[in-house]
Amino acid sequence: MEYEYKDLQILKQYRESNLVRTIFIVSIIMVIVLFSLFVITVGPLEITVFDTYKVILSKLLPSLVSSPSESIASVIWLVRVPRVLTAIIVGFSLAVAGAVIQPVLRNSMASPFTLGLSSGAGFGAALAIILGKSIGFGTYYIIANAFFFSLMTSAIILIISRLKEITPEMMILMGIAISHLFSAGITMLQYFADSLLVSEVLFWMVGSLSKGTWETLKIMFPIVFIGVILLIVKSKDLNYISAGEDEAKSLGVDVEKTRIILLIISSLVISTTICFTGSIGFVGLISPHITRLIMGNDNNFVVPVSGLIGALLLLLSDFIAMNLITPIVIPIGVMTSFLGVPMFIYLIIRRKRGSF
Amino acid sequence: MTIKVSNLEFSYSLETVLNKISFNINKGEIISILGPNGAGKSTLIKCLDGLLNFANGDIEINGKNMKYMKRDEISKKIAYVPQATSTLFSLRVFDMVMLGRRNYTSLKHKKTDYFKVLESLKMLNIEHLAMKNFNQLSGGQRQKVVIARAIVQETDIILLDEATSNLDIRHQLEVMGIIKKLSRNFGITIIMILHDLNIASRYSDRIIILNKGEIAAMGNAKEVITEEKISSIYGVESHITNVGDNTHIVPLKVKVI
Repeated sequence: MEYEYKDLQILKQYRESNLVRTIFIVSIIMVIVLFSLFVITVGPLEITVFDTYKVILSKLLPSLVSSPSESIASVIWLVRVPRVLTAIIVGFSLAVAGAVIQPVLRNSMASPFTLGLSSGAGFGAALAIILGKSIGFGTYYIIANAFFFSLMTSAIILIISRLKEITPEMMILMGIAISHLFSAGITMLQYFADSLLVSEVLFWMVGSLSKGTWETLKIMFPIVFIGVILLIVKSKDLNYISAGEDEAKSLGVDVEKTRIILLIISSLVISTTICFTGSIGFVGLISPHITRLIMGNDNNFVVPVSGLIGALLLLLSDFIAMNLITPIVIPIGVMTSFLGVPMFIYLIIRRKRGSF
Repeated sequence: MTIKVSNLEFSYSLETVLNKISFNINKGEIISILGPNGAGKSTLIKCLDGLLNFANGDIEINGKNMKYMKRDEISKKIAYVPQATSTLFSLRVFDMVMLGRRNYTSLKHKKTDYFKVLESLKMLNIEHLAMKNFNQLSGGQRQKVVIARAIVQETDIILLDEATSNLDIRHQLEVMGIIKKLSRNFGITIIMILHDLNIASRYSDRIIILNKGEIAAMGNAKEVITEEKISSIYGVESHITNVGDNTHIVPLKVKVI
């Protein structure tokens, strides 16, 4: 076929638009790195910027740089750095899971918690805190239970969906139903519990990044890393599923199998993060929408970029939560909602025909 | 590529939608499926693409039973253009058409893929829409985009479910011309559901009329589109004239029973 100049311009325009997207990805990674380096320097304890970076360099290059003092090193290396890394990992994974779950369940309002995972985790934690019943022990007494019950909720839905071939809409309804069941369970446990234990459950459920340590990162990072990579690789089929179930099948996608695989991996990633931090709402819902508004709906870009937006959003929320009314730290779950809700309403009002 | 359908049966719960459907289609033929609403036309097309699991009967593609073919194997042989496409998160037209290259792409699209997409957009005269959002297009434009996607799939069979119903008369003729070209120049087998009897008679090699889940008539336009058959199947009185190879139908009035 003969091509005219204007035809080739279409290809050029298409390639350039993808180049702009790539430049945006690089820019946002740089923003995350720079903002993280800034956040590490801020805290209730007065530590100079020079000392902060000296601590980090002393840990990375111990033979070349010496640490300023043991107490400063502890604050930076054992508190601030793990907290920042936890914010990045949790924000990234919740947002990636959200970006995957929305097209998989064919619902733009779906989030990582639509299948009832956060209520399940909350119930598991409440069971461990109030009744002292847990499948785990030691440091992981609450974490193991939260993980187990969180994963159990999605397992119930996925098993039923496999046996009964239910639709995505029915999966969402089942998620809402199971979520209510676990919420009722949590209320029941709290109703008969001691007030101290009730506040401990509440503290767990609002979510906090303070639980992030090098030990928790060692467990969280490999699972989340592999899970997120798999989600990003598999996300190329999301464009097909978004185009319609019959069309995806006709184009060669095994829709049921892809849906189940993506939901299993997402559930594993979400359960792994929220069992350590508690439920952190809105990041997984809003990050994919912010991404779509910036760079369109191609899931090959939306899934990884949502992760970056999610990481930045959680870093920002944590920074504000820590510094808004010092020395009080606002729970991160509350701050993400305070930031997320107005932003989300703004997006809904602004949305154009065909954008969602 | 030949298609052989034998004793195909499909039911939704207790309601039989297709009952003992049998026919053969040869390579490069243009087949129109006609019939009143609810006759089972879309169900038949979906069965032909393996989108619905039929209870009884067989569909063979080039002698291979579809029951033993995997989803991606079917998609290499058959492309499907649905009645309407509504996406959840709408892609740009170029990306939407690029979806048709799934079987030719591993991780990254090749240069050929980009040119195939451009070629098919040009074939349908929609290259100016390339960077537009699919959900912001009119119904007719969307149908053309989905047809373009089916073309880049480079299959031997294309199924079209009322794919020209949202198009105005000029664009209908334009698309039908492209369909005819695909069949005559590239030997692609076309099976399409139509409601316009005049278009069907003009462009089809053979016509299958379904009624209440069964084949009511099958053959070329002159054999199938007769005043008696239109009256008994559709309940409409009509006047039919044959000029050369073309059959022209003028619907007159609904038959009073």
